[in-house]
Amino acid sequence: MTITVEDYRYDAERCIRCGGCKWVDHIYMTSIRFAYKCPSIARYLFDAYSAYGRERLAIMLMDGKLDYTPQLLDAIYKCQLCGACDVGCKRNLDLEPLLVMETLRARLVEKGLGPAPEQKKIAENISNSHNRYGSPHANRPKWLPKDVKPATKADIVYFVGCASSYAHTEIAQATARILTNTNTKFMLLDSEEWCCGYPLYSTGQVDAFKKQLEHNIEAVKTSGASTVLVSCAEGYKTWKVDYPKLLGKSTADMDFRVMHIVEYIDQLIQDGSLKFDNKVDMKVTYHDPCNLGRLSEPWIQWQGERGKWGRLEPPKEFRRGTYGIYDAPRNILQAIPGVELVEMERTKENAWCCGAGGGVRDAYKDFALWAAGERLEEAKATSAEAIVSACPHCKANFQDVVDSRQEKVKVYDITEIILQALSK
Amino acid sequence: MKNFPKQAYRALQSIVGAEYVSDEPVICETYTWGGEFVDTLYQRGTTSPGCVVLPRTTIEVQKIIKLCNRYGIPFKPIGSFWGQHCAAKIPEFLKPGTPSFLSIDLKRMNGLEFDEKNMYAIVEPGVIYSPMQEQAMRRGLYTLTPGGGSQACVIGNHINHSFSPLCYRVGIPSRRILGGEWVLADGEILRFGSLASQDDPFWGEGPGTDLRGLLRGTVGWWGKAGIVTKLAVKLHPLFKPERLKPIGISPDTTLEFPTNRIRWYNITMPSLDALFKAMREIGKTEIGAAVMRVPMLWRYRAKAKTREHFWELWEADAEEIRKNPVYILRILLIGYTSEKQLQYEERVLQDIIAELGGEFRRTRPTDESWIKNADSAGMWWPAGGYVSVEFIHDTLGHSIARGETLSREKETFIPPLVDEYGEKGWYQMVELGHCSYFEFLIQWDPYHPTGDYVSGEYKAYEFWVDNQRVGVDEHQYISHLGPMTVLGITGAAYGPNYYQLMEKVRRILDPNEVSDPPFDMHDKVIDKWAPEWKKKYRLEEYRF
Amino acid sequence: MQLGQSLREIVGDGNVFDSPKDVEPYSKDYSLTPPGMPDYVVKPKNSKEIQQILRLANEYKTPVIPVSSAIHFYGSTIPSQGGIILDLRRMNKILEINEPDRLVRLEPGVTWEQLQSELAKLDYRCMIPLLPHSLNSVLTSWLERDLPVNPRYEYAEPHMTTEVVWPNGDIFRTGSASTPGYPDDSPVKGGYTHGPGLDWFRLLQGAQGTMGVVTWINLKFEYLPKLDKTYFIPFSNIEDAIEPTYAIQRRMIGNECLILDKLNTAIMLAEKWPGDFEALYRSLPEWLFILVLSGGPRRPEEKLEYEEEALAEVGSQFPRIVEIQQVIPGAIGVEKRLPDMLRQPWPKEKTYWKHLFRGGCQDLFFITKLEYVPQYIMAANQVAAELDYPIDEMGCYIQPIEQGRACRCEFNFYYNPDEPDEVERVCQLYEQTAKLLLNMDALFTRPYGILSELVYDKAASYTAMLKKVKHLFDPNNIMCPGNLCF
Repeated sequence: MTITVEDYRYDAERCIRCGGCKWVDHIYMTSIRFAYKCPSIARYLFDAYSAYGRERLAIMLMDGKLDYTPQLLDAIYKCQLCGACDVGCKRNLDLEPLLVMETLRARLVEKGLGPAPEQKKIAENISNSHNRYGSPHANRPKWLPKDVKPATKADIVYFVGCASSYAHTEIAQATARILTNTNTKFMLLDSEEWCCGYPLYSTGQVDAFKKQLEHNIEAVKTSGASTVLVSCAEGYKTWKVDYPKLLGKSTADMDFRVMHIVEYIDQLIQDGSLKFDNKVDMKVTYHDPCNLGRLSEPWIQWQGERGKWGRLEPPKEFRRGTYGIYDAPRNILQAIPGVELVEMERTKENAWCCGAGGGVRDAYKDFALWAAGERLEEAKATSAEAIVSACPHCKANFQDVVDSRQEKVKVYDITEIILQALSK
Repeated sequence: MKNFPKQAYRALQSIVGAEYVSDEPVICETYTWGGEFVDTLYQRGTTSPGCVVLPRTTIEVQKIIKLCNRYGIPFKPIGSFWGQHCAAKIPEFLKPGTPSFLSIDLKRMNGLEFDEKNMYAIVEPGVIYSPMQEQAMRRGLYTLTPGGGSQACVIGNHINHSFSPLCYRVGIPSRRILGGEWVLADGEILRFGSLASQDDPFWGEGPGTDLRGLLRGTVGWWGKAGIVTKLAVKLHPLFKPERLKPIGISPDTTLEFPTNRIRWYNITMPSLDALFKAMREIGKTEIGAAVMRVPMLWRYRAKAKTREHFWELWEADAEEIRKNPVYILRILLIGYTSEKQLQYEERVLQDIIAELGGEFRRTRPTDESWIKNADSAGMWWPAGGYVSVEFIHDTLGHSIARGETLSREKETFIPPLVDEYGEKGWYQMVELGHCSYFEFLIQWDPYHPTGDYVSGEYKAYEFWVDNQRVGVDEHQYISHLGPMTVLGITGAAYGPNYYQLMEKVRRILDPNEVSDPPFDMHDKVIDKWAPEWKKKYRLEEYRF
Repeated sequence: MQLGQSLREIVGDGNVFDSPKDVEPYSKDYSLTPPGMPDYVVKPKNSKEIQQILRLANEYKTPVIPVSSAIHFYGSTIPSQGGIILDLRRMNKILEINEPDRLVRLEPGVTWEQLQSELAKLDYRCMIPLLPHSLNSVLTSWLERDLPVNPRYEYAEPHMTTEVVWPNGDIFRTGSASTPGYPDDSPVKGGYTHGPGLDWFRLLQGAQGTMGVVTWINLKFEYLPKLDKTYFIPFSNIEDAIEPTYAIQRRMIGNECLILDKLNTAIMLAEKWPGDFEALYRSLPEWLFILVLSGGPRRPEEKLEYEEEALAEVGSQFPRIVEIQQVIPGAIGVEKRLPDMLRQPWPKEKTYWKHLFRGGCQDLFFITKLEYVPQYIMAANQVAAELDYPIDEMGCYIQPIEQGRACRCEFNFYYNPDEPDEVERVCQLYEQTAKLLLNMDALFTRPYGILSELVYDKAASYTAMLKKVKHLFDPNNIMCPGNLCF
């Protein structure tokens, strides 16, 4: 079942322009400096660069009242699809702004009007080489350190992802070592692992995405694993939410469970089977990756009708970002001796996006880096030495800014901190 | 087809920089929707602007407005596009040959300063309530969060509405405006209050005659008289600077109260009469920070998790609500002076409630509204369409009368309006009970009853028109005066002839009629799309 | 002559006066403003008569000066271009006391004495400035933005709605009183200030009669406390008084609150003049902070208790500066009579307190922040010294406003009006002090006499708009020409 932008016309029309999509939850908002949670409107200021603006554009496009212009592509694609708008809207209303924007992109691609050229190139890379970089597919498994021996068969399959396989191998290596250190039996898909497809779905290239989806699910099925473990937030959300969505199923109905390494480690901490041996003296702040945080709730498939008073029949359960993976990484950091965790102003469901997602880092890098820079300012305001995240794309984006500005703040993936605390 | 003069566009680029101005349809089309009267007939009279500009300073605003005067370009200032309907107006409502509107989006003007000692904040037009409130509270001060919510702009809200249950203690909005700077519709700058003669806007009066009288009213200009680019607003003493702790996760976020200093009380009263008596007595004893009675529907909104859940509960209890309505009085006590003040006030409250046969209910020690937030967006939640057809003050007796009138009149508009089973409205005490605020809210499904948008569009608007007619006929004060009214109904009745005075003032302030014309928007809307209402509601011909 | 006849036809023969002996009393007042003779004194009884008078005045382009009190201190009712004195004292009814909403509607001729005594019968009182003259008009006090001696209320103004006759003769009502049918056939009670359309009431405030004639006003009144306790904090210098005042006001402690220098304190509190005065003056501290704590209508002792505790707590924050006392040494018993005294006008049987000391008094007052008060006092003293004006003959009164948000600072330049040299010196003192303070950003929101020119010169954009608005309402400039910037 394919969902289309028409399915969300009501949601676009019922937007009341309250600004919940751009403002940090008022209960939590503390300052003008960090009042916005939408990087797009914070950067570009015109209302077209907001969820409420894009919803207007969606209606106009559906009604044929707006011509295609480069400005249109700009307004629609300069957005990380970070979901801050979705959570903000759903605090008060039962609407789906993020799905409006996702399906709007799919419509543009369908009409041949999108995505951005750089995003098309990524699609080509994936098609040719099964990874976003266009690097040789054969190199994908080469991140694995010689001293780590995955099982040939296990309940847990570690799905590494393109970023950790090719660009941030330290994350894959740390994850693999953590699993080994905790006596966790895991397997790999090796060359059967293809790009999860996030760069395709998030830019509206749905047909290409389906190919990745089908292949990867089949690969997991063949492996016999029941749990797909990831260390990348984009991969996490893609597997947990977008795969079932495109299959017209709920996450709960899929044949496997998806888990991020932070969930796994937190589970071990909570059940008492893991204690950290090493002290890591560091004052850190944690950045919630959008795809692990507010966007990570299981997909709940719904089909029905809208009747009087706009009521849905059957009633729909809305995903409001309430049950994102916020606590697990924090529990981990707080359990590590020596780590002092301080919070930024915008956290959890109000977290400011690192800037990388939604195809933005590929097509609008200056915008992506600008957003990362904003987040780093927020991190610096806490006096933390390091910003810790749980996604290689967050790390990459932050690191680029730190390097270009020669900042003192360090950037870590949480797997690196965990490994430090575990290593003998 | 937009008609925005190219010369003017180039000049705008020079004034603000090319990146802060755009005439692209993609940009302009997103400045069409939002604010009051959305989904009503009024909306038809609006359209997208020909250009959008984002100034940063007062001088830029002045230059822009002078440019508009030169080229006859109508302009509309936009703070948040939340309270007001800030869209441009359709060409046929304007003089022939008028260029397309210029939307002046003020979001870049977000300066905020505090004078903690002397209890005021100086804001620019892009500043909304919630960061100001947070920063005020950290200084042991507070402002109110208006009914429109924390997302309302402080300046825009102070000069149009700014009503909240906290007006009980801090007063009506005209009393909370200090000095300021106003770029008039002709491009001249008026500095009023202490800013007239010095750099500090700490005081609002004079010198001599107080020209703040031109700035706002009931409801003032509704954005049709230039742009206020700086305003000092009063803050009020809270207790010691302790941050009220935000807790919870969306959608259930709230402020945790230190209940020894600030506490809500929900009290069931045996009758509406007893409830009103309690409100009066509480005002007389000068206890409390907020005193009100909310519509029944809000309790169901608060209980429900989804829209469907709301309707399940609401429809199930229909008969019960009609037969045995529950009257809930809601009071906020704040121990401004000390913990013991709150204890004292609580004892006084208990005395009053006991005398009148009320009963205290369990109340959460948190605040979802009025301190850091007001759940205004949730008004659209039950059915998709919403507007407040009345938000007026006088005294409690008037609020009661107005409520009777509106609940009676509403019966003929159900459907498409949501049936609230005889609900009389939302009552608050203001200025320690000398005054009372009354609001009447309506909801409807914009696609009701047949999926046809038009029916709700007409009916909701017609109810609003009816409310004004009946208000005048029954000698009640109504809120929708000035350009937010049907002048053919209210213009001569109140004052009398207040509209003539207002029009004369407007000619001084806006000689070229560029500040969001037309003044008589609602009358034009009726003329065009519901001319039969002119006779039905006895619209008079008003003459300027 | 024809004008006089027409006026008689409107108000009746017995209510129009044009003989020198009848009009002369209106040509001067207790201020230093030079006298100006009116041509007529007319005493209307209702707004309809006023309407006709104003229409007539427009026809003849004759100035009209409304007068509501029997006594004046600021010169704003002295005609500068002749004209008609509109003496509104026949309109002296309390039209309505609305207890449930605690609103009173009254005509311009209602005096403080009249109002407070009526309200007291019902256990209420209206907010009142500091010891106004008993014959002062209540309506004028609030229109002219006098300040309550009780800064407890965060909105300060008791002003609600009004009826006004605009300069062109149109009768208009402000706020909710503008509703058709009010007051007799409407559920409206005149309890809302805003609108209709704009806040017309603001254009009447501080206008010194230049914007029309207000014929009634709705005001708030409050409960009259039955239990009071007065506290005093002596200070030897004004600087020490500032922070404690901020702190006490910020905690919302107490009702009536003011700071007086020893001269004004002695003048106001001396029961027998001049005997008590001398003794009191010698025993008083340089500055006295006065605060009245009052019980509420319910559980009065308990309210007092928590406020006393809070006051003590605040006092303890200033250990070497604040010593809270319940009596004034040398004036035992004052603490008991002070609350009542501060809720009433000055007793009519006594010489007005401002005239007790030297016979004459010229006030100079402005709005500022509490923290700036010491520098203004120093500046005023400096000018006094330069003009050989004895500083100990200058009174000072500081009135906190709205929990200490701002304050009114008032200098009282006492002088003997029968001594030309003293009059001259006070004129110079007034002018030079005003200029200096204006340069120091003192905010003169009520510019009377020579202050007007100084103030309006400085507020150029405001002045320009004010003139436009004035012209709109009063194109013939008949209302109080010469006042403000008109």
